[in-house]
Amino acid sequence: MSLTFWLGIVVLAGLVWVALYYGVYPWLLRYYPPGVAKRVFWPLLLLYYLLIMHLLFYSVFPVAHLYWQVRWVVVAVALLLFLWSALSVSNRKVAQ
Amino acid sequence: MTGLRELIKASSVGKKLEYKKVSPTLLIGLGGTGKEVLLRLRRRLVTTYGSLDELPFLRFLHCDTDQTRKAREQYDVKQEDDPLWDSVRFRGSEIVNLSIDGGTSRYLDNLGKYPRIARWFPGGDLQKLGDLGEGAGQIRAAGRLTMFHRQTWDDLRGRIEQALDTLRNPDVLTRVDGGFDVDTGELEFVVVASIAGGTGSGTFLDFGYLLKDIAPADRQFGIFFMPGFYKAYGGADRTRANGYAALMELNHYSFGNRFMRDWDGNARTMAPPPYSNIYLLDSANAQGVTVGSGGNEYGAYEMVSDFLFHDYSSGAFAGSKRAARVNLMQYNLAVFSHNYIGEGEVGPNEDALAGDAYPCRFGSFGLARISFPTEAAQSVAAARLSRNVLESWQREELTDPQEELFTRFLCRQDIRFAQGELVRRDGVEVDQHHIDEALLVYSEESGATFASEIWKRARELRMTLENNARKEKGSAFDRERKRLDDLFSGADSEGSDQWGQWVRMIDENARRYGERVRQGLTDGARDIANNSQRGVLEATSLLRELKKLLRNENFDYFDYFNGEAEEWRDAAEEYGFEMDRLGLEIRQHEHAFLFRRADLARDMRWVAADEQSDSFQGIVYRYYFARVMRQVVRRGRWICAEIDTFLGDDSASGKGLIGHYFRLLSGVFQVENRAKQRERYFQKPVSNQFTMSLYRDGDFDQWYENWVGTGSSEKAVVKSVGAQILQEVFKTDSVSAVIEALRRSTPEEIERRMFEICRNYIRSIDEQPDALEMLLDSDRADALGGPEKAVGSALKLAHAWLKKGDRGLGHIDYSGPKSDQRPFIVGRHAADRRHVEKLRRLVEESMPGDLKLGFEDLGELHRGEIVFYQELAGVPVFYSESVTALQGLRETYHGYAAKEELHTERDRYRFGDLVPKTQSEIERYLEALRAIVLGRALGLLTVERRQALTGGVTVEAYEYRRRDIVDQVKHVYLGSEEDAIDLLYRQATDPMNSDREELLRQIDEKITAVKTARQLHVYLLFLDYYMNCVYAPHVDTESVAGHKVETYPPQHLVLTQAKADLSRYTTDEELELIKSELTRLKGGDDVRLSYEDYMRVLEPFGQEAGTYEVFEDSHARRGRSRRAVTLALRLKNLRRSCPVCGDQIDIRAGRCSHCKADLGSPAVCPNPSCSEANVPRDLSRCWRCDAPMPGYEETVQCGACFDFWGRASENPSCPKCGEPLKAPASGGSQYAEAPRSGDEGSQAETEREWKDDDNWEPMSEQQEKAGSSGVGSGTDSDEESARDGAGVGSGEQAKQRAAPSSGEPPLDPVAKEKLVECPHCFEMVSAGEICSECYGDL
Repeated sequence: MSLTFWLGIVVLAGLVWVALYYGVYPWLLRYYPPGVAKRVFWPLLLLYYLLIMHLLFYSVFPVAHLYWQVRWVVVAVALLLFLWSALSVSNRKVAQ
Repeated sequence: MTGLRELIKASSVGKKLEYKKVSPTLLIGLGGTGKEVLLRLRRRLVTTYGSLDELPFLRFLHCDTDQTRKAREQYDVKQEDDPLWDSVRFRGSEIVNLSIDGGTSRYLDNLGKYPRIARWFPGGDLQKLGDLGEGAGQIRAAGRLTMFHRQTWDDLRGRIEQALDTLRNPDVLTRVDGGFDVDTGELEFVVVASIAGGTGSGTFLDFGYLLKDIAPADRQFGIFFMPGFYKAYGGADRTRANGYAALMELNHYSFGNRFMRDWDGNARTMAPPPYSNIYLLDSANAQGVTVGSGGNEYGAYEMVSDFLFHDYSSGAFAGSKRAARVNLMQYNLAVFSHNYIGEGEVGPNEDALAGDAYPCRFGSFGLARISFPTEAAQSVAAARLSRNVLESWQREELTDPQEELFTRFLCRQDIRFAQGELVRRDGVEVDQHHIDEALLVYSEESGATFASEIWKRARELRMTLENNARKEKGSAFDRERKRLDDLFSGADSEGSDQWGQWVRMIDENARRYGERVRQGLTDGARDIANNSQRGVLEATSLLRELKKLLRNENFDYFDYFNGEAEEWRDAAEEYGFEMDRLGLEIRQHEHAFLFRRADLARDMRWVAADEQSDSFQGIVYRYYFARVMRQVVRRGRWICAEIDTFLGDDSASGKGLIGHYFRLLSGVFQVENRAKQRERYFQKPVSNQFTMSLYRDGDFDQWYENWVGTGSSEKAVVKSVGAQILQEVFKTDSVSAVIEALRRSTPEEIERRMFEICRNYIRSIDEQPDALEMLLDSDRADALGGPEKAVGSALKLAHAWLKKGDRGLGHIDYSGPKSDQRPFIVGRHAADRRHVEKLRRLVEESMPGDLKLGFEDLGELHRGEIVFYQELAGVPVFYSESVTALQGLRETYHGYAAKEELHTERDRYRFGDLVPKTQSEIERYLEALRAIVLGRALGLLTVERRQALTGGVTVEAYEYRRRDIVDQVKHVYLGSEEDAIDLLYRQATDPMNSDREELLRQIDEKITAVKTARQLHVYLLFLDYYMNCVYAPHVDTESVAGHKVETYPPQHLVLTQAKADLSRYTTDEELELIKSELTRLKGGDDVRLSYEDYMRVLEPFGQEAGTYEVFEDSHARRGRSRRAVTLALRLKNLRRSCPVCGDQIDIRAGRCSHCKADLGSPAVCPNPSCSEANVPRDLSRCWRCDAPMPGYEETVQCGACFDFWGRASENPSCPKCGEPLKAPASGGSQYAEAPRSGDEGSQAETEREWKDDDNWEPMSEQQEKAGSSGVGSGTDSDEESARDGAGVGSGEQAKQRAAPSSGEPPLDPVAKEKLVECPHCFEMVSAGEICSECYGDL
């Protein structure tokens, strides 16, 4: 694995972090107390990372084609991400 | 046949008085009738002048026994319906309660302790009347008794004197205006009463004398209603009998008889008359018009009140009317005498009174009116105007007070108390939270509120936290929070000194706001009340609605604040937790690595939002705002409570603003109701028999329109008069201040003053009703049958209300009053001369020709009426038809069984009959008088003092003895002298049963016996004594007329006649002899003997026969009386003791009728003018002429056996024991006088003899006591009564003088012819050969 590969991985993870930490988390704080926001933030981050990791298994490490189960794992993670995000957005309430 | 003669002739005054000023007058109403008249007079005065205070020269007094409410109010006007009641009713100082505390029994059960009552009280069961608090029960004596109750007396006299002080006060009289011309130098009293009942009839005499006693120089007028007015009421017979008794007493004391005043223990007599003028009013007048009873007599009350009203009016008519009374007074001085006793033969001189006197002190009057009820029309208009003013102050009540309240009234800048939401009728929603807003004000200068201040502080806190270094934000937050919390410290504490600044500020806001709202509500309501377009009613309505609004859950007052208090408490608690958590989170977040920035940013937003919005301002703001709101809500609730309290209860009794307006409203309502009541009262058509009304339906409305107008002109008048009322009555410009005035005085007073202002306004208008004009208006007069008929009817009614009787007076020559004695005056206002002339023609056409007619101006004030007035003066009391008519007063009185109950004097006989006697009555009366007077003088009547049947005092009672048909002697009790005369007078002529005739027969016999005893000169001297002492004529001065009248009691004339009749018993020669003996006995021919001389000369021939009353002439004791002993001839004194046996025998006897001893031949009197042939030798002096007898030798008693009496010259030795009989050594025997008659011992024996002789029952111990105690002498009436009460009698003197009852044995009329006088013992014995007494030959 090249350094670039790994660098790319880090940059992607960093981008996801930045997006969630500076974008999503403050947005969550508008609607949830900090504790709740954090409880939303971390699953989101985890799901993003899982999704990216699975996608990497298709694109960067073409091993996923070998295992048909991986495809459903991706779908499941994506579905979880979608559901969690949707749940977070839809259940938001004014934090007052 | 004798007729009436003018004893005192009324003389015409040279110049008649044309005008007389008004005299200050005290008007006294006695009993129910007096009250009725005076209340009506007061009502008319109040209606005309507005208030009695306008006539300070009048004072009133109502004296009544009846203390019930009905007795206080006018019979035909209920107090509740009477708008004038407060002005008309008698004040406390004008009422004298004539009841007796403790009941009448306190006196009547102990009459002995109250001689001043016992002296007059005639008896009767008055105890049942209790304290007389419910009236005197038609018992006149009960009415009079109240005058003797100390407390009543003091009260009465005090009230009268108090009234007189006022009337004599020049300061009071100078207040008089209204054109009155007051004569301050002369006071008058007017007493109004009925003589039919108990109170007025029982006290009117005492009142007359009481007034005379208090103010002797002033004049008293009495107006008395005769019983005819009360015939429809229960006890009509009693009222008629009462009336007659009252008139008898009034007539008695009106001339020639003195009245004993002893109400207060200061007894003295007072000269007649009790009243200067007496007006009697009967139920029929001179024209035969009658007044009904059972409520119809109220018209007569009205008439009398009109009579008095016009006395106290200004103007020529009133002055002329008053002058007429003065001009007529001369006729009241006339007195008729009925000298029926031997007139022209033995009667007195021409100017003396010998018989009955009939003073002409009585009069009457009549008054009728043709009138338009001007005063009523003015009053109706004034009351209506007053009511309109009040209505203009109230206006209509709101239809939707809530909207008006919430959207306008509470939103006024000076109130701002709207709190909640309301959708108006036009659909607009109004949301107001003035309380919250007011309490949340932080600074009025800057306009900051607590909300803005908290926001500001929260923003500052955020800035502070943001500016603080990391890891110091948490502590900074806590610090700042602590600082902010301090603003709310002690918020839940009650003590304000523990409160934080903001709590104090909110509290201050609340207090200031509450104060402002209260003031705002007060001002707002007042503005509405004062607004002529809105009024008090709207203000009250709004305030009442606000009171309801405070409790309305749809608005944000009590319920809202109660709910909010919990919410804000919970919110503050929750936000407090949030604040705690925020503080913790800030601490956590500033120490965290991850998320620190975002979390702190989020914390800062929570401290204070980025911008102030309605959604979220930060937890700090919320927390502190919640805490502020907690305080605001608390204060809001407090404010609501304060305002609720301030508004008070929703009733007139509430103490808050609503109560204030309610009271104002209710005060206004009350005033308005009073005005309505007054309007209703005056709208009633005036109807009474004496007033012919020119009123037609609709007149009042028409005159209101004439005076006030309609539409805009009416509104203008209402506004202008309303403003005047506010200024003058309420002293303010504001309607709401009226309540202050209402507090200061009663609605009645306010209404009265408003009414006065309105009436003054009405009266200030020139156009006023004119009765004369209306009368001559043919349309209007048609209702009265045309002007001619109206005037004719009025003239008929105006004739004096005393109808001349035409029955029973045929024997006297009384032609009735002259035309000068009954003048007629017509009063009218002389506005239009043509009208006046027309009226004059109408009156002259209807008027009887012999009447004196005058026309006088009534004055501008009375232009609404035409008054027809007649006054009658100087008629005797029997003038009235009702006195003499069939079933009239006299007949009812004489038919009434218990006459004692009718009078106010024990001795009712002193009051002569009111009607002159007929010839047969005269004859019977003279016979009765002769029987009593001569019976008494000749000793045929025994006089004993007996306890009166009614208890209390003893009276001198007469009794005589007669033999009945079986020859039994019986005592006939005749009662007192007056009783006896009355009894004998009323007895029918019946030789067998008539006591009068029996007594006259005995008198005839006695005179014959006296003649036989050759004692006629003594009898003549007794007659002289009775004529000059016992029944002496007296001279009295008529107090008003100043005439001196010599009055001869009828007894005196009977004695004169008896003297003249002596010739029937003697020849002329004998008469001459008797007269010469009389001259000798008197000591001279023309010698005038005094009482003492008579007593001295007559004592040997007399026995006591009661007493007689002597009035004192000395200045110091004038008016007082005492009783002197009266003697009666005692033929038994012409007896002597038998010189042998000592028993009583005839003074001439030569043989003793007891021991049968021959007493020797008689001697002849050496006196040539006497030459009495039968003078026993044992008499030292001639028994007939008292000349000394020559050769008289005293009879001596045997000094040895003491068993023989005889002369020593005839019996040298005692025939009994043989011892020498010696004459006494010197001076005669100590018994020389003992056998003489008149000695006590012989009297006692004589009495025994009488009793044995006639088989009479022995006198009871009580009778003896009464007999011995009944001859008091030389005492004034007080002392005597006191002794009488104690039963002591006249003491030792009387006892020593007391003579046993004695006299000739009554002769059996059957046995009379058989009796002859024995020539030896001179006893009357049965005819035969031998005297049954001395056994001498007959």
